[in-house]
This record gives sequence, C-alpha cells and structure tokens, in this order.
Amino acid sequence: MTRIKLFHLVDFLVGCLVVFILFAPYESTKATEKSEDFSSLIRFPVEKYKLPNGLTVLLHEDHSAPIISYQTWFRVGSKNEEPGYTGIAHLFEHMMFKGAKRYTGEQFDVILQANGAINNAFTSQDYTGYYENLPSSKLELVIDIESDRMENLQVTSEHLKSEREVVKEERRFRVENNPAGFLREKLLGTAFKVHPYRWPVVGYMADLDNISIEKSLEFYHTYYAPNNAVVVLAGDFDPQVAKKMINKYYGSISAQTIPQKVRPTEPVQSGIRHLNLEKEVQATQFVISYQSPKAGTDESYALDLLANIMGAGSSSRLYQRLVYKDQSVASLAAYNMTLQEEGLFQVFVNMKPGAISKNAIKTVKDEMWRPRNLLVSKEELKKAKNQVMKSYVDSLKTIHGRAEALALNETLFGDYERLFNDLVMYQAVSAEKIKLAAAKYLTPDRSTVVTMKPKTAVARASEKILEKKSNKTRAKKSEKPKEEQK
Amino acid sequence: MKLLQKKNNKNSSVLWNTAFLLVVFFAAGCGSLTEKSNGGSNSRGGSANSGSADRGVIGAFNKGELAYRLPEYEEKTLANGLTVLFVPDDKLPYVSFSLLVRVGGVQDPAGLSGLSSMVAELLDKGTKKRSAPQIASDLGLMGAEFGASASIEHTSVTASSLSMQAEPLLKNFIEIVTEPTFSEKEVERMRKQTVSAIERRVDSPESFADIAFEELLYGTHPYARSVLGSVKSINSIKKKHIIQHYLRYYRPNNSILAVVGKYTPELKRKIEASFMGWQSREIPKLEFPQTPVIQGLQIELIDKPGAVQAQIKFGNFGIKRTNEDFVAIRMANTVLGGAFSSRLSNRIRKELGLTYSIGSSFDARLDRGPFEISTFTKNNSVGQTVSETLKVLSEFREKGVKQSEIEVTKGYLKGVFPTAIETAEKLALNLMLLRFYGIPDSYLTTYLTEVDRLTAGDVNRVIKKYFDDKNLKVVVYTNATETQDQLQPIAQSFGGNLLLKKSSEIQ
Repeated sequence: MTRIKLFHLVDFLVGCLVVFILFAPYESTKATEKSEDFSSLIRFPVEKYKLPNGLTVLLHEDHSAPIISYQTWFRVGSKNEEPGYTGIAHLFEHMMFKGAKRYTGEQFDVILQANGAINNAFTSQDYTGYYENLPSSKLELVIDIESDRMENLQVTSEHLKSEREVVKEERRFRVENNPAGFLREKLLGTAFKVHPYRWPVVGYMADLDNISIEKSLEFYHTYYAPNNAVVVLAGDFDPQVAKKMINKYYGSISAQTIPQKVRPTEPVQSGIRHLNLEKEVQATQFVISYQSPKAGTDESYALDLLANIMGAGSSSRLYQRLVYKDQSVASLAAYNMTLQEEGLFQVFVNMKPGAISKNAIKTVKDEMWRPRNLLVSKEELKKAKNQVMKSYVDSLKTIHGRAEALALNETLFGDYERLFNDLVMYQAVSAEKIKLAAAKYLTPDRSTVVTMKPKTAVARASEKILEKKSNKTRAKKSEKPKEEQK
Repeated sequence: MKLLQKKNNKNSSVLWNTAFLLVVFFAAGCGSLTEKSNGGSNSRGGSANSGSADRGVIGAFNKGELAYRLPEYEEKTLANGLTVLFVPDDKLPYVSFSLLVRVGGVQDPAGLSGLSSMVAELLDKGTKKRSAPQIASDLGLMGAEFGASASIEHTSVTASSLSMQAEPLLKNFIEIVTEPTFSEKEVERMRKQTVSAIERRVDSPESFADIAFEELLYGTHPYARSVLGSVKSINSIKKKHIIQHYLRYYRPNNSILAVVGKYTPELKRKIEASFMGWQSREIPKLEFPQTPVIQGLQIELIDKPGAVQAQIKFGNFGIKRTNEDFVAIRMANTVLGGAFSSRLSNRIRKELGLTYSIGSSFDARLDRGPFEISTFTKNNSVGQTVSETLKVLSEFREKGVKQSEIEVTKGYLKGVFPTAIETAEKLALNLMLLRFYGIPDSYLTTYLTEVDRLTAGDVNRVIKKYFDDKNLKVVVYTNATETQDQLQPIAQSFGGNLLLKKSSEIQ
C-alpha cells in the first residue's frame, strides 16, 4: 500500500528485536534467577517447521479475534545491493504488488481489498517483509496469493517506469524534503565507509534511474526463493488445515542457490569524523554516533539499556540536562541501532531555533564520558529494564505485532526463540557490563558528528548564482558538491 | 530501538490514531499506516465468548455472520459525574488509564490559541507534592508511560505500566490529573518549548500544510486554530489563564475514564474511591458559528524556499460525527481515496506515478470537520497533479460508483472491522469516542449490517450531497517560484484565484 512505514521501520524493526526484554517486577533486583518465570509470562506457543524446499514456516495460534496476520519475509535488503544500483531491494518490493500468474495486475490489490485485507510491505538493510492482516476465513486466499507472487511475479517495463517515479517521490518525501531523513542519510554515509550500510535503503536518485527490468528480474530470481524466506501465520486458524494448504501451494516451488557473498567488515574507526551541512531549515540539528556491535551480541544488550538511560524520555540524562535545564534543545533521542552485521549508537539532537549547537555538542560528549568511567546507578538500570520490558509487552498486544516479532527474529537469526531469550539477556545486564561496553565502544575515536545548520544568507546568495549557471547549462539542481555522497 | 525513546511521552498517539478510525476515515496511505479499520461496535456489557461456537472467540462475530457482540466491559458513572469504563484484558500483564476530557483547541479563548495544549502539557510538570523531574523519574522507574495532549476538540491523558505497578501508577495518575500546580517556572519553560516547536513546524511540510489548510478553510471558525497555538498567542498566555482553563474544564462531569488491562477487583475499588474526591462543576456550553461559504476554487500557494516537493491539500467542509449518512459517506470515501485500490490512488499514483501517497478523508467532528484530499509531488508536477486530482473528483461526483466497486468496498470495510477493536485498548478508545460524540454503542454492533445493506444508489446519493468538486480550497506548500506558473491557469479556469503567502503569515 503506501509501503510507507518502511524506512522508519528499518531501524525500528531491528530495534524491536533488541528491545524485547525482560520481565522483571518493579521491586525485584535479583530477577536473574526468576527471569525464566517472567519470560514464561510473555511466551506464547509457536510451531516451527521447514518444507523440503527450504521454506521456514512459523505458526502461532490465537483465537481471540477472527483475524490472521500472514507475513512473508525474505532474507534480502539493501545490504545485498551493488553500488550503482542502490535502492533496488526497495524498488523491487514495490514491484511485488504488480501481479503474478494467478492474480494478475490490478486484480492483486482489488482482490485483497475485497476480502478485507490490510496489507503492506517494508524494506530494511537486512530484510524485506510483506504482510496481510485479514479475516481468518480468507486463509487459503492469502496463501494462494503469496505463493503465486513468490514464484510467478509478472513485471513489465511499464510497471517499472511508473513505480520508479513513485519511489522517487518517496525519496523526496523521506530524504530531500525531510531534514531529519536527510541528516540520517548523511550520518550513515559518513559513519560507514566500506559496508553497504553506507547507502540509504531508498537508494540514490541517480541509481534508481539505472535499474532496468532485466536487473529487477535478476534480483527477483536470485533472492525471492522459498529457502530464503520465512512465512509466519498468526491468529485464528486450524494448524492442521493451514499446514496442508501451505504444503499444497508452496510445495512445488523450487529452491534456489542463494549467493553467500561476504561483505566487508567496517574497519574500526581510529579518529573522530565530522561533516557539516547547511540546509533551508529553521534550527540546527546534529547527531553523534559511535561504532557499536551488531545485533544479538552480549554487548548490544548493554548498549541498548544505556541508550535508554541517556536519551529515552523526560527522565533520561540528556533530556534532563539539555532540554529541561539548559533549555537550548527542543528534543533529542538516543538509540542503539543494531543491524545484522554492524551497529551504530546514535544521539540525535534538535536545537531550538536560534540556539547554537556548539555547547550542546560538548555537553553530549561530556555526558558520554560518564558511562565510560562511572557506573550507572541502580535506579537508572532498573528504570531502563522496566521501560524496555514495557515496550516489549506493548509490542505483543496485537496478532500483527506477535507475527512481526517472530518473523524478525527468525529472519535475522534463524531462531525465533531469540524473541523470548532476549528477556534473559537484558535481565543479565549489570552496571559493570554497561561500563565495559561503553568504554570499549563509545569512545571519541569511534565517533562521527554530523551537524546540519540553517543556511546562511551568504550560502543562499551563492546558491542562487549556481542555480542560474546550472539553469543555463541545463544541469540538474542538486545539493552543494561537498555534501554529495557518492 | 526506537521503542526505547517513546517513554513517558505521547504513548497515546498510536492508540488515539487508531481510535480515530471511528471518526476519521482516511487511508490510502499518507503518513500513518495504523491499521485503520472502522468503528467498532457493541451492545452494553456484552457477553464474552460469543463468536464461533467451536473455539469461543471473544467478541467479534461468527464467521460469515453480520451480528456482532462486543467483548465484556463494564460502565459506571460516579456520583461526581465521571464516567468510568472497565475493559479487562488478562492476556498480558499491563494496565492503562485513559482520560478523555472535553476540552481542546475549540475552547481556547480568542487570542489565546494553544491554551488547551499548554494545560495538557503542563499537567505532569509539577504537582503539590512533587516537581517535574521527580514525577518523570518516578514514572520512569516504574517503566510507566505517560502522555497528555490536546487535539482540536478533546484532550487525552494516558498512563500505562506493567500490572505489578498498577497501584503506584494510579496514585501518580490521580495526582497529575487533579493536583497540578502550573508553577511560573514550568509555564515559562513550556512557553519557550512551545514557541520553538511552532517555529520548527515549517520544516515538517506535511503537518505544516495541514495547519495552513485548516486555517484557510475555516477562516474565523474555531476549527481554523492551530491546537499548538501561534507565537503571538503563546506569548500572550499567562499563568492565570492556564489555571482558569484547567479549573473550568478538568472536571469529572466533563471527562470519561477508561481502565484497561489486567487489574484486580481491589484496584477497581481503589480507582472509584480515589476519583470520588474530584469535584464536579458546571461546564460552559460549546457553540459553533456557521462555517464560511466557499465559492469556486481558491488556491493558496505558501512559499517554502528550497523545497523540492509540494505538499498539496484540497477540500471543503465535511460532516458532523452525528450525521446519519456517516456509514454511506465512509463507503463513498473509501472508493474515492480511502484505500490503496481507490480511484485517486489508481490514477495519481499507479497510472501516472505522480506521488507516493494520495488519500481522501472525512474528519467527522462535533461540528462539520474537513473533507480533505491530501498528496505530494515534485515541483514540476504540481499543476498536473492538481488538475488530474480535480478530474478524478469531478468524475466521481458526476458518474458515481459502480456496483463492482460497492462489492469490493463492502468486503473491505467488513473485513477490516475486527482489527479496529482487536485489543481491549482499541475497544476502550472506541467506546470513549462514541460517548464523546453522543453515538450509541449500537453503532458498533450494527455496523456490519449497515455496511452490508448499502446499495450503489445510497452511495451515489451521498456523493451528490457531500462531495463538492466545484467549491474547494487548496493549499500548496513548496517553492513558489517553481510552481506559481503551473497553478495560476488552474485557478483561473475554475473562476477562482491564486493567493501567494509566506510561511510566516500562517498562524
């Protein structure tokens, strides 16, 4: 549909995974021994199996409402792209709505709509997901539709032509016309130098124009195979019936050889990086990031909790200091982005209009010194654990939420159980572990500072001159050269 | 990790968006993709475990049937007039309190727009017993989320935590709602915070265009006001205005409380006992002036230097929530622009590739809320997007809907309905809003039947009555020099005019 969520969800979803947490009572300080009990409060029944062609299937029965969530996730994202063709994973996700063999062209959307489905899709650096939430009586229909487009997608160059324009509008919406999105893109391009995480999931404008129908089909045939996918069915269904249907519709789809390309590991940074930008905005924004470990590592749990302590909510350290006391900052957020192959701890700060960022940047750096050298307090640690635990509970209230959490863990780790084990991992984090992780990763040498300031009058004037020139030469108007990514 | 950052802030936003399903029928894409479905329904205190006989589906309907029975809930009115809804949910260990207060931007006095919002934002910034940082820290320690925000005609105050902290959460919630102090220091801090938020709005093109559109559409009607206020009005608000406004509207007889989740009978008793001390008072009656008359096509182009993409909003006046054609209008709107396979989306996005998102909505309110078509496109496609969109609207009005579209839309509206009240929180929200607008709960239990019996004739009748394609106001927010020449001829061809503004002229 609007396939809209996605880019936000990129980190967001990965984030959820890490966020899913422990379940300790407020008063308990030695919940470690109890954590299994707590996780059992959250645990819900899941059955996992594989078809001979390699398709992983997860079933979670819940008859609370007459609905099902059907999710199909592929282990492919923007990290599987090549330079020059960035954005193909996401553009291709749009093409998946253009019809297949049994459900052709426009029929695809109309049939889902007529059957009461809310459907959408999303692309991240590491995976691409499709879902339908619909009445439980429509189970066979959705299995038929999804298996059809996994095997028989029919894409034409006309589809690609119009959808490319749609995606370019999406890029303008999320990046060019969106200061926060623009800043984020610049951050990833500066903090990552060799790993494909350096380019945006939506892709660069020029690359979107490069993607041909042949390239799209090659992408489809390479990655959209049953052995590269996870299907999750959650909600009101009969497992025996569902298994038969899944077998019937997916059983004949052939497995493919999925290229197992080794991507370069991002070298450990050995000095602070700076990027200064100017844009037509009302107020300065900046972000400070630190190279951090990938999803699922022990240290990532400690850093997740630290991100919460630093910048989640109005009782966090940075909020209290910069928003509440100093009053130079309008809003801020800290989070530990944990992707499948790398991580990046980030602190985003939005200054008030007219406020200078210099002191705020210094304050953030000073505050980041503390966890490297001092233990966080017991209260802070307890607060972070409780807040993360609450987020976990909130995310599992709907059938869709549970299906999504299962799909995420299974897709990234090949193990949905991670969802429940995360509870134990967060519970095991001590103040000492946080200090060790902070001292190792959140150091000035591993940091990147990207600052985006309101364009000055001088910059505006010089841009006008440039614009005039470029109009004459019919060149494309773009950002100033120093800001260019590629 | 984004989840981690939401703490203590507007945890309510998602829920409230979902709730609006009941009031706003939008869709097709813009911005929020909250699972929108439509209203929910029910008969009071409906029995649990209706549903399919074999498995005891709670609430919801029997497959293939249109009758709907709501999940179990209980409603009480305390002696001081507070309506309390208890909606149990034992599936996960959480509890939440949601208070809907009948006060919003429409009650802001002239020249003091933003007052209701300031009051809401200041509730947890200090009470008689504790300072703002103490409250934030105490709530944080519980892992609780707290949020208070005003909308155009109501305010929501919500708090939620794990069930183990239900009692301290209740204590905090009551203290925040009934004993805020609005200290001078916190008022000044909030004033600066709000002014900076207003100034930064121009960098969020979509929401800025929304504000500008309602201002243009409603003129002197209170719906024209920005809930956040203007720099001028925020600077005019004094502490005494805040206290007066709070004392006038934050009353039990002006509020609805919903308690949701896994709570004990003892907590229920405590809730009732604790809120009993809240004093009732007569509430000033809200009256709306006439909505202004729109003639022809009026386009307002607001300049945003440097913008590469235009936000475009079209519309005129929609309906009150109590409108008897509500469900038929919802169906008509779904065909036009309320789903992914709608007329607008098929033409403007799929065929022409002009946008990533286009949708239409009726925001049904106490008075006539806006009917709005919303989209965005690159600067050099602005003219084409505006004229193609108007063509879709005109054809929709002239030729009406086809029977096949009605069939598809019925399937869609009926199919997505259970999602709207899938969780106890969503149900509670729908129940609160029904009470706010004075709609009986039978709206939820008869919704499926209502949808099912609508005919193409019914829908075409409401299209003629409520979808005006000639008298419209349009806001375009982008780089004016790159788009002005495209818009001028369109305005002229409709016998209307193009008005050029700077973003600083928007209140």
